[in-house]
Amino acid sequence: MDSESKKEVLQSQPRILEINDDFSLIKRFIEGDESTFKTLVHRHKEKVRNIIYLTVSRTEFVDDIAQEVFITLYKNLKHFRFESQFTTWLYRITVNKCKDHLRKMRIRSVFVPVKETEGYNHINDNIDVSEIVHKSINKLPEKLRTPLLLKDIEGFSYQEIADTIQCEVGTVKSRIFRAREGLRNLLKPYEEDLRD
Amino acid sequence: MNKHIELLSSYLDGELSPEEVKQLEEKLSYTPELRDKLAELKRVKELTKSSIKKIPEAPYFETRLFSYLQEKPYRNKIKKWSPVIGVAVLTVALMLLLKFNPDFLENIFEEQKSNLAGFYKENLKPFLFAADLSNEDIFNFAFYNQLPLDNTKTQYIQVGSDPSGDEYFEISTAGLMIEEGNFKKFMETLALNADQEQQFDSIMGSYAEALQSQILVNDKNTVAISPNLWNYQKAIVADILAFAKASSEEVADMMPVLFKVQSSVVKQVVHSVKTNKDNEYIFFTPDSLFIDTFEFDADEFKKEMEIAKREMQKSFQEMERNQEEMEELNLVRLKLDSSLINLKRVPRVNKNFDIYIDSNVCRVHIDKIEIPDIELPDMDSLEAIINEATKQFKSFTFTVPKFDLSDGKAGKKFHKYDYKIEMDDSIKSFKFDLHIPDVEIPDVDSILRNEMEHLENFNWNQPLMNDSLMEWFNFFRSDDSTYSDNPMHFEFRMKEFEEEMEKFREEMEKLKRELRKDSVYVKPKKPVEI
Repeated sequence: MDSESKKEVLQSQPRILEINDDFSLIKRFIEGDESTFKTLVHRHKEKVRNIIYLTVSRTEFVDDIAQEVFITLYKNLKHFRFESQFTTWLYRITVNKCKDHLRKMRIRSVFVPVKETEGYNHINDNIDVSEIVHKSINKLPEKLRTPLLLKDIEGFSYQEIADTIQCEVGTVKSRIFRAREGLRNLLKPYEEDLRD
Repeated sequence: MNKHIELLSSYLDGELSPEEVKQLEEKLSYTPELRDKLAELKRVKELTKSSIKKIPEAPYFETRLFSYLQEKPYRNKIKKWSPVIGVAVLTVALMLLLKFNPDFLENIFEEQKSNLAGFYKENLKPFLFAADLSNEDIFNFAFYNQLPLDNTKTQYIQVGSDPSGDEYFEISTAGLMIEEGNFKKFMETLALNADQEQQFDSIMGSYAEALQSQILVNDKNTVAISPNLWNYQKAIVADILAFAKASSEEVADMMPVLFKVQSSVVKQVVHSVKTNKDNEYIFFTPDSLFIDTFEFDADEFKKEMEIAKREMQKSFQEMERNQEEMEELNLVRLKLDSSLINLKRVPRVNKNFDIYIDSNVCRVHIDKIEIPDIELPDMDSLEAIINEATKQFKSFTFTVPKFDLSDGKAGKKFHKYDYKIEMDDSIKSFKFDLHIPDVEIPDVDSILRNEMEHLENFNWNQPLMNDSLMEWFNFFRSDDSTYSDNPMHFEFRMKEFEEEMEKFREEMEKLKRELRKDSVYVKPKKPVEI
């Protein structure tokens, strides 16, 4: 197909072929059409919110952090260099914001009295399996938890995870393995309950 | 083996190269442990997948985000700095205002002050009206500087000057113990005829009226005292002395100082005191002390009171059956409350007043307040006379028990007792024959001498910081170290003991709290080692 006929196709079906992928939206944004930002937000907000939820594992902070992520995105979108996937860039911002948040929380927790130990005993009949697992996952250190959840919940590839948390693929590999081993150890006391 | 186990995880995730997959599957086929391990990891992966649900969508997320983004960024900066800018602008404005109008603040303060003064000056009424002063009260005021504040005589105001010459007055719940009947004795000594008596009555009556306007109170707990009160006291003494000198030679014999009193001077003094139109009052209010002028319209008040009296008489007749209620009809009662102590902290006040307060007495030293001097050439000499006469008067009324001398029958003891009074120019002595049936007479002289020594040694100038009653108690009991039979002392010791116990209890509470604090501390959990 030569360039002439390409043009024809474009003219005959302009709407269908209107290019709405992330890159084009960002380009239009940079050119001054700020309305495209709305589309970007709408498209990615749920993914971003879920990543935040997985990383900080507390629902009450999700929306505030997500707002921060998109505000940062809005301010920096003009500097986007189209070298990598937009989502990788966006998720990197998200994970960094989450890390900031966790750091603040850690500092704050120094001044807050230590909560009582959260233990599950076997006497309790109504044990929710997914709750046990969820709590156990939350006990994992953040650097192990995030890759594991990005893989198992969000279905990221190792490469995507490495891009998002900015490390080598090998590191991601070993962290996910260590996360699973750790989780296995944490779940050992509940083996009986989990068997059904 | 370990290397293979680590590969299992990536194998599960489909992240191994085809070559690695081939190798691992081969290994798995003959290593049951590895197969078990794979099953374990698979289970963990499944559990992980199933355990976390996606969070629900946030409906207003975009609305919130875009409303924030639409706020202009520089607006944020202003918002952030607005408190600082506000303060800065205010400071500059105030500086400019004060530069071009330096009296601004002072004017505001002055205005507030006069507003406050006006508030407290409202509705002032003479305090002494309620006391219904009798001739005897005025007589006692003249010679003992003490006026009752109500007709039940439970509160007194005392004016005077301490040895250093500072004027003071105090309001106390217990007056000096004045022997009753001094006035009667005085009158008996004068032996006046009917005309003279009437004349004397009118003199005293005029003072009773005049004294009314010297102390004013209102329902806002304000007490206004005219500094002229001190002059009145002197004038009354002078007037009484002049009258005594004129009416009875006998009294003049007894009080040689009377010869010095010149009635013409006294007349002038009395006149100028009575016509002193200096309307300054010292105002005592619950939160401040100040001096201000205040016009008290005595005539207006008289009219008001006459109307009120008539109405009250009517109601009294109705109430006569109910005596109790009538007794409760104390018009005004000044409460000595601790709030007055706060006055000490007012710096301006401290310059002019010293206030000593305890549960019985409120004494105010007004060393820096000008008591308006009566401008008469002979005032100094007259004052000296007044002082001397007052002294002599007190000597006369020194209490020696009255005994019926006529009842001197046989078999009963007689005691002779001499009492001497030293005066500037003569020594007068009095002889008493004491007769007390079947009672061992104590050596009155030695008791008196002891008491007098105590009084002389007592440091009257020391500030009455602690309870004056306690002071007196210690003073009279200073030579007794046991106190065993004294209930007051016992109470005091009990109080001390109770205080100690309270302190001890507090200590224990503190200790308990500290112990509890320690037990609350829980060692932080160690992070999970993986």
